[in-house]
Parts: sequence; structure tokens; C-alpha cells
Amino acid sequence: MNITTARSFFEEISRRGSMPRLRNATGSWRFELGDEGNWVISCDEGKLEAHAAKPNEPAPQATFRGSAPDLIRAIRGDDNENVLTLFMRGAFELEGDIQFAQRIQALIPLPETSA
Amino acid sequence: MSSATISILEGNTFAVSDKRGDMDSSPVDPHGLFDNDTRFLSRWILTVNGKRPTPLSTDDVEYFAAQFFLAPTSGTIYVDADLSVMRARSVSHGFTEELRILNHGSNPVDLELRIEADADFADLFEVKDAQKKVGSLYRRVEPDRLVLGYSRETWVRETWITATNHPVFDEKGLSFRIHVPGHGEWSSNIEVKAAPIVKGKLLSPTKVTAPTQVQRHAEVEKILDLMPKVASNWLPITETYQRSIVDLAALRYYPLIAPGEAMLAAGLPWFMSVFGRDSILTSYQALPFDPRLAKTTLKVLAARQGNRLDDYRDEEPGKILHEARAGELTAFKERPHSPYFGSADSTPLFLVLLDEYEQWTGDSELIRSLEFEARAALNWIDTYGDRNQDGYVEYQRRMESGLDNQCWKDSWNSILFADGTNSKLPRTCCEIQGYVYDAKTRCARLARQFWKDELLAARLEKEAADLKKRFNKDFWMEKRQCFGLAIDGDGRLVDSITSNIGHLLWSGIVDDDKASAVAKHLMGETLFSGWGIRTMATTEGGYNPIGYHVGTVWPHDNSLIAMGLNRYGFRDESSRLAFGILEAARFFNHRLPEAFGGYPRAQTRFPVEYPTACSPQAWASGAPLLFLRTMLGMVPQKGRLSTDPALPGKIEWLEIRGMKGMWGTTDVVARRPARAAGAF
Repeated sequence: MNITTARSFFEEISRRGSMPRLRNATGSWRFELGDEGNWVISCDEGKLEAHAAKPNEPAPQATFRGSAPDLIRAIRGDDNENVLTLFMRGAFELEGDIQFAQRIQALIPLPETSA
Repeated sequence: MSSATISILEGNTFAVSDKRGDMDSSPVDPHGLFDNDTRFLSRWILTVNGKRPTPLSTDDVEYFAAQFFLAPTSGTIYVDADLSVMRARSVSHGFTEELRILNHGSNPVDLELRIEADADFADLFEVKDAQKKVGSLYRRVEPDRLVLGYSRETWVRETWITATNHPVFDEKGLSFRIHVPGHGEWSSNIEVKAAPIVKGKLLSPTKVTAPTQVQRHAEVEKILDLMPKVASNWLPITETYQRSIVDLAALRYYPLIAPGEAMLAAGLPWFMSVFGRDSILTSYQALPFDPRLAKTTLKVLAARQGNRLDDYRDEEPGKILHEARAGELTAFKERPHSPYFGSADSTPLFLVLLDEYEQWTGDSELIRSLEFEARAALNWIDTYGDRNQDGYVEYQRRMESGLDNQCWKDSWNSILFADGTNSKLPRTCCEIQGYVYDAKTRCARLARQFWKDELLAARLEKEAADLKKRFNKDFWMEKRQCFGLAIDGDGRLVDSITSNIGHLLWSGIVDDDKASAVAKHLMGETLFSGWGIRTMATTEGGYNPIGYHVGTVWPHDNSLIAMGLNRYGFRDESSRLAFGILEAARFFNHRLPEAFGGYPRAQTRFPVEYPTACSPQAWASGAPLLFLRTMLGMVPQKGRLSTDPALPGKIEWLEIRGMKGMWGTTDVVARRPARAAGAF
């Protein structure tokens, strides 16, 4: 698994299709990544799908705003980064339901498998 | 914490001062205003005409408020009794302080008041070991406030100080020149606000993060109202219980890792954060009184269960976290606490709590909803916990930044041989094997009853039985008639006698024919001080009565040991132990500290304070609740509550009314001639 771009991360999420740890989660996370565009991960009781955000996208439960390089670092766990450290330093802004937002930690950093 | 300090708390914000209400921090005196692991005020010193007033009396009115009564000094041994100074302080994301000067004389008086203010913005990890800050400190005097600040890249922390009644601000504090009429008074309302700022914006609670102070106080009142009522002829136990439930309510806060969920902070001042082990054990202690704590703890820890290999955080799939922090060092990855997973016992203890919770509440829905996480925890035990596949769970940090010891005695020198020398990593601590045995036994029940997995149940029962057989052979010291503390990295049995053997009784791993010998050690004079069981026996080379994990007495440790003694039928010993700790509580104003000295009771009339002990400490506050359960012999059994009281000598009767469980609401009443324990 070699995630080097935001696109490759979201494609990997769709490829996996599910995450048992999110079996109690239903909603979507939106990522606004500047030059690398806006993306959405939808979760329906653990079933996952990711796509580039469309114009009339339903309102997400949580929106993350930040840079793609920061996100990729957290996805890969490079430099000991994760969602929490990005959030604490303000590298990622968060809007919306913080409880639902926290669930993204099941996907970032991306575990080797979906188990 | 020394009894010379006054601490007030509200959620994750707490203020520590001396008895004047002054804050003058040092590595030994962790004074200050703290919020989310950052110190926002490290110096706050009041002078009247250049002199610090003399403290007369202090009243910690509520857990979140205190009042300080002082009088200006005359520079001699006499106090100028014509004037009094009153400081009323209340905490909430900072604190407010009403400063009042009362003139009891007939003549007016002109005074200069001065408050020296400073903030080092130390991360909690820096408080004991002061380090040079990477960012920049700054001060800014504005027309109506003083701003103390610190910035490091996008991380900005500010303290905003405002006051009424014409303060004059400068970079080092604020002053008032006041005129107080005869028989008159003057006052100012001072506000000190902790302001975390990111990218120019004040970090404020987002939706579902934290209630307001008014809502929180109402929440606490409601919690206390719903708690069972305890009554006894022996009043100290009722006072200690009342103190405990208030402290447990006060330690609830809304951490960053669990927004919208109230978790218990582990202890003030060093551990005002989520600790997996502490949360689990405190919830276990409080189960009969407030099972909601356990439910929240289980859900939050499950939600942040490890799901990857991360050497930096000692994270492994299925592992339960050790500690989460929100300060600068964590944000900048100089500490791995986002969160940190370096404990080997949290995972089996999570499973123990899960089963115990269901036994008290009958909440099968939670058991089913956490089946995935429970199985992952079991897998962790066998895969990563037993790293060398020798049938035992051992620990070794993955990086130098991790914890050396990952058991509850997590100081670097807690696992010592009888001759006082240190043992080598990886370490296989005895009590962790007990927890694993207990976890597997309990999960067999859950697998059979709720997960409908007979194969898993049978496998777990066999593994538990095999572990028990192996453990009783490998850890037993025939010559000392006791279990060793651990097996070290060289394969040597660490031959110290410690309080850990009490946890073995609690877990049920001890063979019946060894239990008497273990109980004899526990209640013998080398371990039992007269107040409680020391962490290490006096005969051991490493023993030190004020050694953090090598001789002090820890209330929570004793509460589990008392349960263990009960389990094996040592009722009198269990009650005697419970009573000793509860008697000690009287000397701490009914608030048991994290730990106290292991000096023999015969040597002192009172238990000796441990200098930097946390207070309140969650699992110390939970200990009296577990002692109550122990003395009343309360056991949930297949949907019913059975009781078998064994009251210690001075307790003639003991009642708990309004105890809720899956059997409804019940009262437990014990009166003599319930079996008496001892004649003391």
C-alpha cells in the first residue's frame, strides 16, 4: 500500500469498501484540500465509499480543511503525524460534528488491513 | 499534593495555590492555572503595600471554588487586625477572583495592592522538569487587560487578565491604588481566562464538546442526587464516601479524544487526562454505585482501540490506550500521547470490566455492540501481548521515548529483585498474567452467552486453565512461600515480595493451596503497615517507605487486594484491611490521596503524606466504594445480588440505600452480630 496522493487514498478507501470498526457509523466526512480538490468519504454502518465531491453534495457530518501533503503524512503516519496532532496544531481545521469527525481515526492513519 | 496547597477544578481546568491563594510555581510546588495540559498562569502573588498578607483561614467551598481569608502583615509577628483581605476564587476555563479589602477601623486607609502575574505556558510534562521553551513568550499591555502569551508556529496560548475598579496593568502584573473608607470595603472582580488560539482563532467548544459551567454544575448535582446513600454508626465512612462521590463527579471532564463524553481524569495535578488503566479500575470500583462510568469508559476506550502498528505510540491492533494528552509537546510530537498505548494491562482489564459491567447491569446490548473490540483485545493478548509466544504477556517499549514499565507500577525502578537490583526488559509481571486469566475466564462466559460462540468459549476456558497451571508453577517461590513479582528479560524470576500478589488473589489465578500463604504475606507486618499494604515488603532491598512504587501505600491497590482476600474467603483480613485505609482517610480530610507513606502505624499516630501525591486521584476516590462492597460481601450472581457482610470492629451497622442493578433498586443493610473482624 503506497499512498502518495490524496486521490490514491480515497481510491483505496473505495477499494476496501468497508471498515468493521465503523460499523456503528453512518454519515460522511468531507475533505477540502486546496489544489487537490474536495473529497467525500461516505460511511453506511461500516460500508465505505469515497469520491470527488460533486456540486450538490449532501451536507456532510464533518468537514476537514487543510493541505493534501499534511493529510498524506497523517495517512501514512509519516513523521509520527496523525489526525489529532494535525488538529491540535491547527494544521487541519474542523467544522461540524466533532464526535463523528473523531471516527475518521479508524481510517487515518490507514491501517494495513480493514480488520 | 501537599496539604499546604489548595486545588480547585472544573472539567479539565484546575488551579493550584498555596493557602494565601498565591501561585508561585516550582518543580516541587506545581502551582498554577492549568487547562488541557498547559499551565496558563505560573505566578500570581498578591501584596498589600509591598507585603504578602498572612493567611488566616481557607475554605474550599466546593470542588470548583475556594475562599481565602488573610490579613496584612505589619512586618513583625503581629497582624494588623484593622484590615482583612478576602479572595473568592472559582474555576472555569480560567478563574474569576473577587478580591475584597475590608477596613474594620474608623479611619480611612490608602493602600497599594499589587498582583504579580506570569505564565510559563509549561506543558504538564515540563512542569516537573523545567525545559527551555521552543516558542516565544510575549507580554502585551492593552488598555483594559494584560495579555500573557506564548507562540510556536500555529500554536498560540494566551492568558487574558481583566479586572474591575481601575486596575493599572503592566507587563508583570496589575496594581490598584485604593482608598477604603472607615468601616468600609473595596473590591475588584478579576478574571483570568485561558485562551488557546489556533490560526488566530480562539479554540472554543464546538458542537457536542462540553457543556457550560452552569450545565456542568447541574449535571454534577444530578449525579450526586442519584447516588446511593450510605449510613453507619461509624461516621468517618459516610464522610469519606460523600467526599469520594463528589470528587469522582468533579474529576469528570470532556477530553479531546472523546468529545461529548464525560470521562474521568486520573488525578490532580499530574494526571488530569484520560488514562485507560485508571478509568477502567475506577469504573470497576464505582460499578455498584454508578455503572454509567463503566459504560462510557468501555465505549470511549473501544472507539480509540489500537488498529495499527505504530512504534512511536506503542500502538498495536487490539490494544487499549494508556494515556491521552492535549498539550504542546503532544501536538508537536515530542511526546507520543496522541494517544499513547504503552500499558500491557489495560487490554485484559478492559475485558474484565466489560464482563463485570454486564453482571451488574444486565446490559447485553453493550456486550454485543463491543464484540468486535473484545475479540480484537483477546487477539492482542495472544499475538502482541505474548510477544515471544511463551504463554505469558510481557512488555517492552518499542522506542526510547516510551515507558520503561508498562504495568501499574510504571516508574523506572519498580520491578526490583529482592536484593534491590533492577530487572531487565522485557518484563512479565505477575499481576498481568492474573488479569489475562480473569479476562479469558470472563470472556468465555460472554462468548457463550452473548456472542453465541461455543468454540471460542471452550478455547478461552482451556487457555485460562493452562495459564493458571503454568503460572502457579513458574512464578511460585517455594522458599519464600510467595509468588515472584515478574520474570525478567533474562528469564529470571524477580523474587521480591510486593503488593502485586494481592492482585493475583483478585484475579482468581492463585491455586487454592497457595492462597493462605499469600494472605499471610499480605497481612504480615512486612507488607501491612497497620494502615494498609505497602507496594513492597520492608524486607526487600529496594524498600523505601516513601518510594513511589517500592514502599508507599496506595488506596486503590489495597481496594483490589481486599477484593482478592474476599474472593478466597479471607473475610476478616479483607475487612481489617478496608478499615485500616478508611481510618487513614480521616487524616486526609476524608479524601484519600494517590499514595501515602509506608511507615509502620506503630511509629506514627497518623499516616505520613507522600510529598507529590495527586489529590484528588480518581482510583483513590473509588477505593472507599470498593471497600464498601467488600465489607458487605456484595456479589452479583446470575441476576441477583448476594451479600455476606463482614464488618470490621468499630462498625456496628452499615447501610447502602438505593443501590441500582439488573435486579432493580435495593438496599443493603448489615448489622451486628454480622461476623465481626478483629477486635480493634
